[in-house]
Amino acid sequence: MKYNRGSVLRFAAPVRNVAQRFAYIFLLFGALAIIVIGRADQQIFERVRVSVTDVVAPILDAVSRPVATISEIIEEARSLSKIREENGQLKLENAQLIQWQSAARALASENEKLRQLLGFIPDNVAKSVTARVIGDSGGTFVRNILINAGRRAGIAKGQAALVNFGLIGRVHEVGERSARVLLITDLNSRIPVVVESTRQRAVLAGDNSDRPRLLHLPDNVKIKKGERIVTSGHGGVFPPGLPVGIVAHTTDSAVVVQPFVHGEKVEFARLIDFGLKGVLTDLERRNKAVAGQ
Amino acid sequence: MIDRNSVWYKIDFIARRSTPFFLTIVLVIIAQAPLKVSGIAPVTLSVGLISVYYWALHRPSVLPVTAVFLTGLLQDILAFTPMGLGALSLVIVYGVMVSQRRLFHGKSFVFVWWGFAMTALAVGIIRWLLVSMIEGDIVLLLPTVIECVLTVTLYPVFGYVFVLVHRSLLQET
Repeated sequence: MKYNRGSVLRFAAPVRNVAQRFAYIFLLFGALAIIVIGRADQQIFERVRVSVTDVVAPILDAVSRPVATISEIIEEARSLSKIREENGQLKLENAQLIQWQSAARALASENEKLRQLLGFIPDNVAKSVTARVIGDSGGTFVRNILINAGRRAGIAKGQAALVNFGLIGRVHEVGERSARVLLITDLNSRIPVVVESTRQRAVLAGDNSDRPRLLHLPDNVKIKKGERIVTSGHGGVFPPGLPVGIVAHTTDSAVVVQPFVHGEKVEFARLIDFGLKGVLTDLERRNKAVAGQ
Repeated sequence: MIDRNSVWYKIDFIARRSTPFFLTIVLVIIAQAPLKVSGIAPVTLSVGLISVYYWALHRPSVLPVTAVFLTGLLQDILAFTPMGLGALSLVIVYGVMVSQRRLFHGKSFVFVWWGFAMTALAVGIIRWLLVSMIEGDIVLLLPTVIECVLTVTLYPVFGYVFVLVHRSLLQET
């Protein structure tokens, strides 16, 4: 069948324009509505986010490998030039560590004896899973990383993410085969900590910069540069004593902490289940109870 | 002679027309992969913004507004930014660019690049304001500036890829 293209277009074009304009306005307001809804209820899009992330995770897993390899090669070339200097430093450090090791052994055996005397019940043995980092948020507005292990590997919300025993964050969202770790540098991260030597309690709050700050310190407390900050165990999410960082500098208004590990630069993270159920689960239980009513 | 009614022709036609969208999706996903080189801060790149700007300006029909919206949502999900933020900014950019196509028609690449720099700057500021409003706190501005500068710097690279895709689209139609 032959028809006159011109006349069809004359009718079709304005109709299509109106439809497109309508779709445009609809989607514009749709996006606004999503922002408002997401703000009102932070959990509402969690399931969508988790399932989409789960689907994309294998792709990111595959992509992250060559990217990591290239990064490694660059890193290798860089470190090659510094090898002599580094070797000297490491020898020195090693000698110091051997001293520490013997001290630690002596303390461990003493501790063991004292525990036997007291009939002390040890904490649950922690289970750990090591996962590859397959994505990072880049840190424009949020600071978190995506790992390639999820519920199937035993990852659960609230677990601590560590690298070389330095705390980098906690598990925030869990999918079947991926999970998102909220880094301690994120704007929404709040971790109860203590200053190791003075046992002064504080809250470590991220602000999206590389260095989080200590909050809720009493006015008269002075904190020195170089003090070690460890988790306090308050709130029951993390066990006490996980190393977090050292005090980088202090001003009148803020105490700035340099974390031991830069969370976005790691390639593998260890997720540790300390068997603690803490405040996170309480909050969720309450949410569920509210939702069930 | 091409038979425009044959099944293969139609499949080829649809595949070609949807290439920009799928390419954008793939780039958005790849942009999330961690790049860890010591000494270089973790940075992110708005690949979605580059793609939406390019196609809205040169050929909006291959990247309809629904595709733009979905790209924005995917970006929000993967980067964990507040849901809807990326979708809103991309849909706005798309609308503005489609309506301003004439201004850029037949202009040099440098002019288009300059236009992109202005767009990226505006989007950066709007996103920063919105996130500050959503979080109820002024968030750091520096990461936004870095993201903006990096995206504008790399625009020609991605722009070149899109030009190649664009050319292959033109061959058939």
